[in-house]
Amino acid sequence: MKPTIKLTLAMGAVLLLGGGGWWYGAKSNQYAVVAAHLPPVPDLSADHPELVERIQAADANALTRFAARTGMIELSRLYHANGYLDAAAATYVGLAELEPAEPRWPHLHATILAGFGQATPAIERWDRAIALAPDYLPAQLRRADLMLKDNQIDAAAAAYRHVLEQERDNAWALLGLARIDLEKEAWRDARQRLERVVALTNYTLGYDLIVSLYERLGEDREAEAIRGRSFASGAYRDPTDPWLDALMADCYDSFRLSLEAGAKARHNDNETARRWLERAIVVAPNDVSAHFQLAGFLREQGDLPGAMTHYQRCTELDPQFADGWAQLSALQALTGNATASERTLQAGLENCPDSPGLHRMKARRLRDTGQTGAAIMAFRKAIKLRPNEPDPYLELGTTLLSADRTPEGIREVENALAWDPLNPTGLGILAYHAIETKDRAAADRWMTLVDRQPRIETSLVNQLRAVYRGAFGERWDG
Amino acid sequence: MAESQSCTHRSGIEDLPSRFAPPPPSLSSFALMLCRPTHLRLALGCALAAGLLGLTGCNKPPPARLKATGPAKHSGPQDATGLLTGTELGTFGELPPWIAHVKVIDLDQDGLDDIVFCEAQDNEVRWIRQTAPGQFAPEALLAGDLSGPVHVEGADMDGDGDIDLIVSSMTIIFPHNDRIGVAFILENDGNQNFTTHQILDQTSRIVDLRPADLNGNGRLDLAAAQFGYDQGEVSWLEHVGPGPWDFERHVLLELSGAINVEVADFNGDRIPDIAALVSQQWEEIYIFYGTGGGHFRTERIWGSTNEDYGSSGMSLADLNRDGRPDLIYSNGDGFGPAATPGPRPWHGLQWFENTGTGFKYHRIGHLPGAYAPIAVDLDRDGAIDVVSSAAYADWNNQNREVVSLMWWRNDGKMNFTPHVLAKAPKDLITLGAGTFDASGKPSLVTGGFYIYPPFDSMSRIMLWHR
Repeated sequence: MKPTIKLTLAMGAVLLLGGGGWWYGAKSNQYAVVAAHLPPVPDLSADHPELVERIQAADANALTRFAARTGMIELSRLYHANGYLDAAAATYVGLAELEPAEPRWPHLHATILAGFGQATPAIERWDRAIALAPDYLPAQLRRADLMLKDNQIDAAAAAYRHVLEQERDNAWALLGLARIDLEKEAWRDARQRLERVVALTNYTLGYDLIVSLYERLGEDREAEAIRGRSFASGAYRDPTDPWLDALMADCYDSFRLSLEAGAKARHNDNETARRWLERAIVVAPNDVSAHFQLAGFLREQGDLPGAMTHYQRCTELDPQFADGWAQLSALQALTGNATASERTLQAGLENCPDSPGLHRMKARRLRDTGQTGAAIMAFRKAIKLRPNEPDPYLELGTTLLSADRTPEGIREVENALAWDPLNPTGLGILAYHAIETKDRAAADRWMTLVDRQPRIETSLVNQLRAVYRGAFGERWDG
Repeated sequence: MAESQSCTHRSGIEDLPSRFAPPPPSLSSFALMLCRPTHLRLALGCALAAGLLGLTGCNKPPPARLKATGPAKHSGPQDATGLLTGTELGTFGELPPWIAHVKVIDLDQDGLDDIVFCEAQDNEVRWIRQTAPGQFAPEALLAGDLSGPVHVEGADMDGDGDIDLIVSSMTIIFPHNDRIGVAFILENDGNQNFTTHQILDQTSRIVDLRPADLNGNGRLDLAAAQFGYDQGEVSWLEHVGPGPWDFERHVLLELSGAINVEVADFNGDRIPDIAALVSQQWEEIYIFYGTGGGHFRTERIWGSTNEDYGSSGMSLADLNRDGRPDLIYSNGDGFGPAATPGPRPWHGLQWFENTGTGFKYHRIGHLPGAYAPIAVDLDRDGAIDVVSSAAYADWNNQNREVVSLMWWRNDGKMNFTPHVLAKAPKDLITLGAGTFDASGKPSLVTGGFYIYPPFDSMSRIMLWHR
């Protein structure tokens, strides 16, 4: 063999050996980092078998020289998605060391820390995530929110403004700035911002704060108009965070999936909501609650056969779950299958004889078919089983009024108001009755309450005022 | 030797992950550091080092993983279900109980703790009198028609020497945004006959009222948590007179979701301050520092960015016995955008250490559906423990292994070890502690609030004693 060939082969061997050594060393370094941050496997005894299997496999990989990094990444997803937050946090520390240019690790870690209000470490991580991914707005918004909660007001304001430079109409950033305005008692600025927020989001954000602000500013008409439009809306919607959302594909907790699906539905992200609800049922086929939620969601989306299937499943899985029967029966009635609806209602009552909702449903059906006496008895039964709900009293009251049993009907409407003193329907009925019977004192009392209830439609209030003037010859002035 | 240390590196996970100490370099990573330049000679050296690693066998044992050194977050709580015996003291009616609050108080001032409680469904405040140590009279009605009462406190509001009751009422317990909150004072005639005075109405739903002289004029005022729903407030009701039941409301914070207020001198200036827990989407804790004459300076001491953190209760105690009042706080509200309520992975307890210059957050531990945290030295070892109840934490026909009462035993160094006291009855949202036998040992009292099926494993008022 020629010396040059020998030399080439030797050089090749050395290069191969060196490259292999470098690769081996790199893997060894990853292995050491992973080992230093690999959390103990939590107690998985109550978890889904597939999750257990995947965690065990990922954990085993993390303990090998050649798959340590991928094992750790898999573990981070599985732990975070399934609620093992301490373990997930530990993996993110390791992953941030292994992949310092990857912004997801500090962001996801920060979301865990910030959830517990741990401002300093969370903000540090978000600083890093934002430096690596300056266009990822959820990280910027979350950091700004946390700065605000940590009383770093100027920094929070700057962070929100920075978001607005990138997205002029970002409602969450505007809302954050509005909160700062409110804390600084800069009422005019707060008002301008909140009015923009509610306009941008159709009152799903900022509705709560702007009402209090209007009332503070003495602008009661504006406040009442918004109060009248909503009823315990629970207005807030978290900003969407795709990196966090991506974890749900690895979630095996049907309740968690249902919750997150509910949040997505609030955002009108119906495709994701449906996907997660369906996954909830895949991981827990016998979860009545998940079937029930999916059925309700499908009904709202107009998929009535789909909804029917899942309501049906609720009744099979848990015959004592009255709402399953009630919703199935209602849906059957809606789709024109009266016989099946009646049969379902009867079956529901046999399985749940103490269900106030089912008795009320039966009462309505009896009322609608002219069986007033039986309907009244069924309403009374529903009220006996759950006496603190105003609506059955109102339904009973109106049924009695329709049957010309006015004193009894009025008494039931008054009973409704004992539980819900500003019930719009009840106030309207009682005000009208008092006016009609020319009981001026009672009419004044009820009209005063009508004026205090912004949820009564203006047209109805105007009608009551007109009747009042006709009965008493004077305008109702309040 | 260095490799051995690396292989056995430990770090505690009871601390925040950010505090993990960097591990000492292993031999392999040290070799890697040496071989970073691409010089052929160094590559050769690297290859040799890599080969040597294989020969030494240093990497053969599986590398040591991170291990917990303190109470492990995921190690299960200890079983202490036999420690306390539960005795039902309540009188069941036809409907599942809605006990919104229990208050341990010596109402008749006979030297024995009694139990006063709110039945929110029946609109009543009721009393179970301890007639002799461990002996109880049947439930007695103190006042009805109280519009969904959810909290009761005792104080001599009119200065006549007996204990009056202050009642917070929501009117409607479920989500509702109408201004239907009502505040009542039940005036005691000295013989535990009560006259109801409505001192505030047409306001955001009220969930907590605490008596204190907030403006320093010698009369008891009231700090108020007004949950509302979309709109709510933290406020204080100034006892203005001239009548004994004339109060004027002052708003301190316009945010929905206030659950609890507590009054104490947090900053040691001898002026009462108000702490408020604000839930809903805010998930924040505020202190309103009294500056004198009924004026306050607002400071937010903590907040979570998790809108679903689930704040559920806050109480006051000098947990570390340093003379400064601390705050104990639970997050376990399981209601959300799902068909049923249920647990979250972050549910649990924490305490805020009053350092004198601010508050420092400490996590106590995980408890799905945590409610009603209270401080009590349950084992009488001199260290104040924490006990909390739990509710709506996935107790259903398939799963009944749900904790409903947990004791967090303090080792004296503020390390808390969870001990399960009970898994039944379920859905206990209110908890108190007092002395209910001759031994002087602390006992617990819980109230059940049942709104989700199945309607079994229920309790109304349960006494838990050793």
